Amino acid sequence: MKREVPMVLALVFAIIRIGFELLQPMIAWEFAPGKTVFTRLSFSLTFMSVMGLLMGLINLSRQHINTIRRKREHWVYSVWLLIVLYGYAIIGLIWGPDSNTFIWIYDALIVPLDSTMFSMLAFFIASAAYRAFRIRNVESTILLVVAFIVMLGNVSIGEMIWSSEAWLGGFKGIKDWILSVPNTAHARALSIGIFLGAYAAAIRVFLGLDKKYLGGTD
Amino acid sequence: MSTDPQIWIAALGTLAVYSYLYKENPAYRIAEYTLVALYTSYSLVLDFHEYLIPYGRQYAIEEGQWYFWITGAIGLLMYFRYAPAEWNWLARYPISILVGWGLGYTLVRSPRPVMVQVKDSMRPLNTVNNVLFFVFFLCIMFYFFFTVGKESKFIQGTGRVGRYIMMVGFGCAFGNTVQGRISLFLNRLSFLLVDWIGMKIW
Repeated sequence: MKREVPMVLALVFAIIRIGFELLQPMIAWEFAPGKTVFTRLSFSLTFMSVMGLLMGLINLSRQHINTIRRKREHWVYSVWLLIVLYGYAIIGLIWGPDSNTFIWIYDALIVPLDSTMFSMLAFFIASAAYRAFRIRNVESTILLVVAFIVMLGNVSIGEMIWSSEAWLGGFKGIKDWILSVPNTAHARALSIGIFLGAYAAAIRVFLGLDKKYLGGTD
Repeated sequence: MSTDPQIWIAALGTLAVYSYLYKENPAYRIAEYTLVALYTSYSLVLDFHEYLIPYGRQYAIEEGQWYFWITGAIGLLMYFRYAPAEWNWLARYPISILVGWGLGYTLVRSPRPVMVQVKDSMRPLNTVNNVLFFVFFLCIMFYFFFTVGKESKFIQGTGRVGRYIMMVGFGCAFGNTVQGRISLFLNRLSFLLVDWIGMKIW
């Protein structure tokens, strides 16, 4: 009941889905005019997954309530987090995501904080580039030289330094060649490798050799 | 300078995040915790209003599709994760069903895009670029080829070239990422200088 039934359920639903994907009569199977079994089953499983929508809220709340209760370091920020978490959720749940207040907060805080967080990576990347440069081996040199050429090929100052009408098409011409030949070869080889690894992992789950998704130890 | 409170909040939030570049401080922490809380609530609200309510109302109530009640009830079993140890295994049922459903899709659909790429990689060797592409492609594949030992000079040589080509690929990704982040930074800078302070740049 605890492990075997969930594993059988995963196998059965995987086989059903494979059937829907591969067998044309199955995917066209209608239980009422214009209503296929596949779409209704997909919708009902989406509905099932959405039932767990409070999981994120509960997990975050449990973690921070624990921090507050034990007065761990920075517990005051956890109080602030819970106020914002429930305040914004209540506004959204009552007045909806199209309400003025909800959108106002989204524009005032989520958009700027999110893009600023990502933009900060420019500084950390610059420091990473400096550290890579200090290693002084062939690999790090190739990486940095290529990154430099790609950046110069994308901006107008690169065009001013070495015009695309000059020899080799300038920085832009070299950048285009790098992107279309070695970079494509790299992306293809890596995506094939990633696919083989991911597919092997999927087969292991299908065969019941990998049961980590069940969690727990019993 | 702007008098719009929304712009002021956005500007102070932006400065609070950038204050981390100096060192970790309370302003940054408040901004960080605020963003985590807002994003969690945002996704909750969107799921609630775009899936839970419309699906529940249309299919379970208006159309009376009985199986929506069953899948909904099974979905609620996920919360048994927080139940005492003797009951929390019930949370495995909805997770297994969703894993199985996604697994079926992955097993059937995921090979196709890769096969398209494999097919396109087998280019006719009629141009210098096509020959180079094929050689680079094989060299990278050899780098991950562990069936024969690395003692072979051929495997060592091709593997080394493959590693260099991978660095070219990572360099492209690195350059594009740096540019993307810098353009985001310029966008924030423009917001602070033009929208908040009211400086005329153009």
